[in-house]
Amino acid sequence: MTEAFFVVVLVAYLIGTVLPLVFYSNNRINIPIAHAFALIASGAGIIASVLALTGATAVTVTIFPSPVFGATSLSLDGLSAFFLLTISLVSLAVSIYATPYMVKTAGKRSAAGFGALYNLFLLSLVMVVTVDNAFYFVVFWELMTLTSYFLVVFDYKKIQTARAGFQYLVMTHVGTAFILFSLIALSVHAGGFSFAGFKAAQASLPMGLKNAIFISALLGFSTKAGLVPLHVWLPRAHPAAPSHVSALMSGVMIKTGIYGLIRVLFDFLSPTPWWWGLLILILAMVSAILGVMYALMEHDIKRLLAFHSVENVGIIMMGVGLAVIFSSFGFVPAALLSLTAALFHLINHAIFKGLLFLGAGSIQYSTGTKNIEELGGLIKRMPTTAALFLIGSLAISAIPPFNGFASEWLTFQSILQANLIGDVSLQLIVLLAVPALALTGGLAATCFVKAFGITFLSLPRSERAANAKEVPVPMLVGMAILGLLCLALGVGSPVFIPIPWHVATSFFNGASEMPSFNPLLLRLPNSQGHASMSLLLVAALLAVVSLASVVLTGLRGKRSVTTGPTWDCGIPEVTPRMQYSAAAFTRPLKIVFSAIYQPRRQVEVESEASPYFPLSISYESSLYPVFERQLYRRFINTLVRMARRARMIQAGNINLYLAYIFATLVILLVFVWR
Amino acid sequence: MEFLAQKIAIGIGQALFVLLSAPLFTSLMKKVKAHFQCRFGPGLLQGYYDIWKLLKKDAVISEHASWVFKTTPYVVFSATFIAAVIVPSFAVVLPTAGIGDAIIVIYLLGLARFFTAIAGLDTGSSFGGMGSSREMMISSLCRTGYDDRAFCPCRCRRFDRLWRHYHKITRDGACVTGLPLTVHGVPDYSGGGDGPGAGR
Repeated sequence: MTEAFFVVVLVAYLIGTVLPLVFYSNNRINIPIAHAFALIASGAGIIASVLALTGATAVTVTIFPSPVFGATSLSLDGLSAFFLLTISLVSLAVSIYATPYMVKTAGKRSAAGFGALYNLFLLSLVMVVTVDNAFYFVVFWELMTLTSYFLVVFDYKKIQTARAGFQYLVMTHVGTAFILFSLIALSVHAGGFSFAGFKAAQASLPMGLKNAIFISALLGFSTKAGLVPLHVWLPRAHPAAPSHVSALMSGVMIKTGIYGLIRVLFDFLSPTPWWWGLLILILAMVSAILGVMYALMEHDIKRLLAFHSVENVGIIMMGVGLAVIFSSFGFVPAALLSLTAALFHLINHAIFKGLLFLGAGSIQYSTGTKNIEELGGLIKRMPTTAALFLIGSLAISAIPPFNGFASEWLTFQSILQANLIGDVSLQLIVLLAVPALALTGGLAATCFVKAFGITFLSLPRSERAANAKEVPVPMLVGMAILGLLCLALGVGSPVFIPIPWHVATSFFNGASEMPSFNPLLLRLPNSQGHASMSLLLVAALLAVVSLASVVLTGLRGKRSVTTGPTWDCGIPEVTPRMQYSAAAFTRPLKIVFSAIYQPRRQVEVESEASPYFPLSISYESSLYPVFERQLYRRFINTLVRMARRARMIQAGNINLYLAYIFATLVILLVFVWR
Repeated sequence: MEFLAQKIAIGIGQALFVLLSAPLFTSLMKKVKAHFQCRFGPGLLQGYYDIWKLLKKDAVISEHASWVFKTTPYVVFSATFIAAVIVPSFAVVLPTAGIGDAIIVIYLLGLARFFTAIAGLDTGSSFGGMGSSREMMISSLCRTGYDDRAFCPCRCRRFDRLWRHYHKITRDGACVTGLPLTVHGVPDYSGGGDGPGAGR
């Protein structure tokens, strides 16, 4: 049964890859076809993964056997099924959304190739998380990288897009090289490419090799996941793609990096030393804080969201790092809790980030701009989009009763298990994650007050924003699905959490299922007894108390409500220019954190006679790109310098090349002579 | 059954106590502040007078404002009220104890703050923008502070014992650390201009 649905997923994506190309020249046919098949495949994917997660045995589908590299079998074990569920949930909503969006974005260009690549990209995502052979893993990983590259550079005539795409291609390939190293090292040791073989051989891995494999896997997979300092491609490439693809890349594709890391850490390299976890945890904290800080200063809505992906990958990685630390000390329940938190935040992030990127796409669809400084007042012009974007903003800011809060709460709970650790200094470093996570949540809320407030509220700041219209129904439906999921996974968290918990149990010996199940109340065992939370009750109380207060204030009888213009200090009329801008809104924090941002600004005042009566003032501000300048620029400079040295041998002089040939000949002769 | 009824009665009693005493605490804080600045300050009942007066007044809403502006007061009130109800101010056994812990209280106040801030941006006035920018700046830094305070046992020396103690009190519901949260949390919004930054 599960197999049948899984085969439907693969076949539907394949048909979706081929069929749009048949109707190459007609966008009216190829766009709906491409997304309809993606939709069928996503639906089947949800069913297959739910069946696999609730069923007892792992499901395997063999495609074609190869004598050298082993059979290409796709298997749905717990972790794979969980990732398939994540991918399918987001791609379901995105595929509904995409048709009208693509019709407008493609314009007169043929979208057939794009639709084909879209399906191929989703297929490669599914195969990456389900394949159980290292060789094919790398093949599908490459396929995923390349298809996503072509999706990013859809708008290739724009110079920034082309550049962002190139940077993405280079960085992910450097990452792939590291992944390749770790997988080859594993397969040389295990004597085969199959994941089962890796698992069987893990006990005999020498420590030095194990560390090398871990470091290169961490470098490779965190490049894809966008962990600081390997995140620089992410805020460029994600915004360059069409928005529904950004939603898939930010929501789902970067998660394959986390999938790879979890697979390698807990399946192939256990038992793990504790310092691995500490390294991951520290990188995760830095990512979370820096990601949200850079997001705060960003006024391009898609770049802002991309930086938030860096932040959220940090939060997910906190859980992964904690799981490594706890499992290395043998605290299985705590490790289980941490990995559950990581997986739960992973699916939650996929959902709310998908929603927010689709919201950004809708904004771009109806106003033609991504710059929030040009927007405003959209809540009156696009009320449904505004409400859904607000839900996404609340969820990503970890505000109850939405899903972002539920998983951050779990992450807090797993950090608080640190009292189990005997070593006090390690304990204190781990506990640093509490203020780090709290600061992240606070700054994220600030960032989304800005993003929502400046974009949707008050008066439109440009003609384009003033003429905005609500987007077509399919786009709203796509967003509404994700919006409902944000609420459902929040209030329904006690019902959902046993799933990631069950997935996590397979990685730890002696792990048990969730001890108690109560659909109303999430009750988790921890080192101090238990912790409990109920977002359903919070939501119900919020509704009841709000209603009661509405009724109670209404009891005194109708009070008169006057509507009038906003007070403007006596100036004849409120103009959009009087409003607070996004730059002004975040300026206080720019000053507070100026050590990190290192802001630069340029003010030019043009005046004729007296400086007190300026004709025009231009203000430009920028942040010092620390990582680009300090890390990457230096690295690239060294690379270029080495390349220049190597160029010495390529002088372009034909006599020199003849000399090379002659020298080679002599050397070869000498070899033969002996 | 009788026990449950008792629990609910205690819970409602405490909720009413928090609701009715919040203006008193605001005035008390103002009084203490005034004392430090060598002023007399308003009387202790001033908070009640203010609320009474505000309830009698008519409303003026900007023509640029949207539904966000109109719903914010209700969201802020209910979020803060629920946060206060979860925190055991004097009762040990609460029906609401299972809803959550210190973390949910802090984030519920975050919900209130989020809506306050977007309502500030809703009218298109630069003063509203200024206020919400300031509010979010202070609160995002402060929330870390709040957490530090809630988790302060972890910085103490006799780590394990204090830790267990802290968790016991959050679990059972008898919480001394809860009171400062209530005092800080409730007047934030019922008292008007006294943000957490001003109070500290």
